[in-house]
Amino acid sequence: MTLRSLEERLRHLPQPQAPKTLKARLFATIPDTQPQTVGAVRLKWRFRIRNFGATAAAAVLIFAFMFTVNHALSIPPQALLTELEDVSLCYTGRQQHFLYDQNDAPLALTSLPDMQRLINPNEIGY
Amino acid sequence: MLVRRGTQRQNLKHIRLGRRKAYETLICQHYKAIYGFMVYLTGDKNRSEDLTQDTFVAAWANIDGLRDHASLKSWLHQIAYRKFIDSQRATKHNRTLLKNMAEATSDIAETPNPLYQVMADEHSALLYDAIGKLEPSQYLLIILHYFQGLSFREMTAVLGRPTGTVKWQIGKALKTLKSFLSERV
Repeated sequence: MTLRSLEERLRHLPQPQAPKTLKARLFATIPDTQPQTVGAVRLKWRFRIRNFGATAAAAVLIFAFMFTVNHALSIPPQALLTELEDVSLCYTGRQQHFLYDQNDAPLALTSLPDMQRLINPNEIGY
Repeated sequence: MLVRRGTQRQNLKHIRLGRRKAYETLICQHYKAIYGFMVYLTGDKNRSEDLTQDTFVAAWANIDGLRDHASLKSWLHQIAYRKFIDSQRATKHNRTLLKNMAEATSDIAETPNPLYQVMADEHSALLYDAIGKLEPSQYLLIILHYFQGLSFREMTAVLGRPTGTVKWQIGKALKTLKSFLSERV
């Protein structure tokens, strides 16, 4: 007999069978009150913190999305200003901050807010 | 396999949260192994049942001590082995008390060894007989590794010995067992 065959024989030896009543007996011994172990309490807190974190992250995302959408709609891009051709004033990128009338004569050296105010038809008297 | 491991991990999480149903699943998975281990250690049906029960009660109370799912089996065996050692001490203590009181030790209930039921054929009986002649430490190693299916690593956790030592001791136990069987044949 080799050691390997002995090992095989050991592995295949019949094992003692547990009595059928044992399982029910073991179930009956579990206390109804759940053990509030330190780990359980810690785990519950971990779940709470995780839930709170997830909720907070979702709220921040929603807020950021809404802010982006709002901001994008309320402030027109600067390029739009240069393409306003139906007004009597024109503004070119090459000659920034200068306003010209239809004859290309410079009106005034102005800043962007001034220009925005000026291209408002109500303010220029249309 | 991955799904099964995931389910077990989920089950363990529920046990840690103190859910009874999850613990019942754990009992179903392991009670036969723990009972078998106790039968090999005690050789007594009633005592094995009691110790199995003690093991699961202790496990339920100390579920916090369980760190990893992979060690669940060895963790239960570790508790069972400690329960057995405690009960051995208590039995010795009781026997001494009884002796001191000049009472017969035969009062301690003796029930038939459940192992006799599994020695149906001659080969099994011969092998069990040879295993029974091993030193207690070697006997324990053979049970844990070949009957309970614990790996060397798991046995290290149960016995608190280095893996190398466990391997060497098992090899030695096998050789001793082989020599016992050779003598018989």
